[in-house]
Amino acid sequence: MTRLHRPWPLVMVASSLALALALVVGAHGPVRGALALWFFLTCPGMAIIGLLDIKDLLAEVLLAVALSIAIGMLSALAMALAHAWSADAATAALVVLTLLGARAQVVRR
Amino acid sequence: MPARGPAVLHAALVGSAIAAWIVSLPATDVRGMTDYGLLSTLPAGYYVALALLTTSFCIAVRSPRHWGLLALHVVLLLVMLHATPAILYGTLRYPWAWKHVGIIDYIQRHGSVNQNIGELTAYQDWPAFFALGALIVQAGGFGSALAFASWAPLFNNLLFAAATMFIFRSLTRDRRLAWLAVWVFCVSSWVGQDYFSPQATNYFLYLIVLGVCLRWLGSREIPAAESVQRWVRSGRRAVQLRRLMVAGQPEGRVRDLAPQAPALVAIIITITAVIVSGHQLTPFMLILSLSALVVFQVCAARGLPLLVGLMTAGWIIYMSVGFLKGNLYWIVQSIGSLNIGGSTLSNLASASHDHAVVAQVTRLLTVLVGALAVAGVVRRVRHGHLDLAAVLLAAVPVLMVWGNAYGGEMLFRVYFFALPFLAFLIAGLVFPSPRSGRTWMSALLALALCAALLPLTLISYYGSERMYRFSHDEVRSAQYLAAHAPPGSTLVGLTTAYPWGYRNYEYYSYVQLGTLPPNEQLRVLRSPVQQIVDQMGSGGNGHEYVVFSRAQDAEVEMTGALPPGSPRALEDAIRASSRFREVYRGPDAQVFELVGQGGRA
Repeated sequence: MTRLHRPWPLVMVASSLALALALVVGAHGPVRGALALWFFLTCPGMAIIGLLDIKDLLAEVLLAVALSIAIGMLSALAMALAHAWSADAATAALVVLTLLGARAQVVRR
Repeated sequence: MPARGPAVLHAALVGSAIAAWIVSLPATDVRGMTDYGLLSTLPAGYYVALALLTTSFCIAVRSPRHWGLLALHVVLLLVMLHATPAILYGTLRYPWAWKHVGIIDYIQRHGSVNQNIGELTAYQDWPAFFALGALIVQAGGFGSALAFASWAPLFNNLLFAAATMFIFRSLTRDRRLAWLAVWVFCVSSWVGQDYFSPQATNYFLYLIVLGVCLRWLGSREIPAAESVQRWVRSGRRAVQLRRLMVAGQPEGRVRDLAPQAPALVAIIITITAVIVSGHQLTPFMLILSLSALVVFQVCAARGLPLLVGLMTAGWIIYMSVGFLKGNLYWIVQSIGSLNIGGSTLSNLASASHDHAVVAQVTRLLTVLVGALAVAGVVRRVRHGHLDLAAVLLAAVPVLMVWGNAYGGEMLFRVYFFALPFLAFLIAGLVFPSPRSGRTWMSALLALALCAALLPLTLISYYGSERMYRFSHDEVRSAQYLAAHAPPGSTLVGLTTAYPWGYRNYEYYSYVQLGTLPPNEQLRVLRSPVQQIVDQMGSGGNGHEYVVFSRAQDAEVEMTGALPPGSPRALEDAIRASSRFREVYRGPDAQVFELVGQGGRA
């Protein structure tokens, strides 16, 4: 499977918008929880890793997960240390980052 | 797809394994667990399932083109090993995992960390994991990390297996070797650092950093013998060292990502920033490993060890200095707080017979893995392959033993970091070169390896579950305390084996009688009520509670944390005293509140 055929931008946009919608309408339940876990553990990293020309699917996915964890941790850590905690603001920022990454990947194609 | 014959064979073996595993679950009664842990309650069907799956894998690994089939085997193995406790218990296992949920709960409520809290200070000083946990809990509308923490061992082990595959594919082009190494890693990983914890997440990140270095940041040119001689002085040794560097270059390295190298280094630095702010020991392991790769010219990013060192020092100096003042000795020896060594290396004289057997098996397994890895190196070298990177990364964690005040305990943490590379070297026994290992003998040899390692790992990994599992009743008693004990209360228990501190943890002071010095323990046992009241008085300014529970009793019996019979004697004394009243009573837990002289209820 080559990079051009991978559906990451579509997956990222769908995941970001679904989580944003769940937060805006105040949805509760397992779907929102699963969406949040999926989004924070894959999407921010994929927004950046997808811009690199990594042809190995396993490496690409693993780097996306690792970078997502790192970006999420650094965002949350910065808020906690600065006494400026806002889960909504952090989620919004990461959604914007993901959408920008998805757009950049589409443009590059 | 595999040819029709083998496909039918694998379908039959894997299908039977899945069926045997599913059938074994409802036949398991975890309440009857002995000091052999989960093994004592799992029915034969569980072992049959593992045997069938292992057999199928060992046959399939000789034809690694069918990577989907091999990946299915690995996923099923990890599900059988790590989803089983989550399904059977229905509660979060490991007392430390409950504390981690408690730190996340603190950040959820306060939106910040507080390095001045006396309890669990290290977590407040290295809070990256907990901060992300709080963010996900709030964004996901979970209410508490308990909603997903039970599944962390399965999730983490899936990540570990994928990350090791990423690394192994950099070390060799022989896919059979890489897949078998992943399997050996999975069936030798007994240390139990895979639960809901900062160390598990940081371990995954550690593997990813090493994987990137091995795959894409390799040295393009090995220095000339004259350059090497500047370091080792002797001309003969310089030639030998250079030959080692040339022969030891990872076979699976990719050299077509040069334009992306700066981006990859930036990604490594981002991940490293999380590692240094998320866990005490992992940054030091990373510095050692990167240094070894740079010195032996396996990694070309020469500034990386220094950069990680500076970042680590910066975090410790500016963020964790308060903690260091009182805990410097503890930091180096700790990966989280899972005290494996306490139940394996030390105090075997006071451990129960069965638990001592488990501890001995753990030692045997550790020695066996090391010996097999050495044999694997020898066999690979005889076939003309020197896995220098794997040898280096298996060896350098051992250096951490020297920086540790409790050398025995560190050994098993070293094992955890060395294990991926030990597993790779062990797999070299079966596939010493791409041309060898194509007969049925190789399948039999792989099967023999797994047959030796997996049972020992099951005993070691599951062997302490009696004190790591919490029943629903024990959890209900902890929920009672969280709901009724007002801030400032002192909570007294026997050991750490209880869901302490998962909610409002900073409200309370905690006293565990099993951690008191032996002379104080004797005083408590001679005069339980007065001594326990005195213990409460030392920290509490509100209500005070004493908690007895099944898992605490189990830890006392298994490890000898208190003299035999102490739990029953203490509970009888508290129950008979007019100064305490029972406020929670269940089949597995009892909670008493101080109400008499000195009490405020």
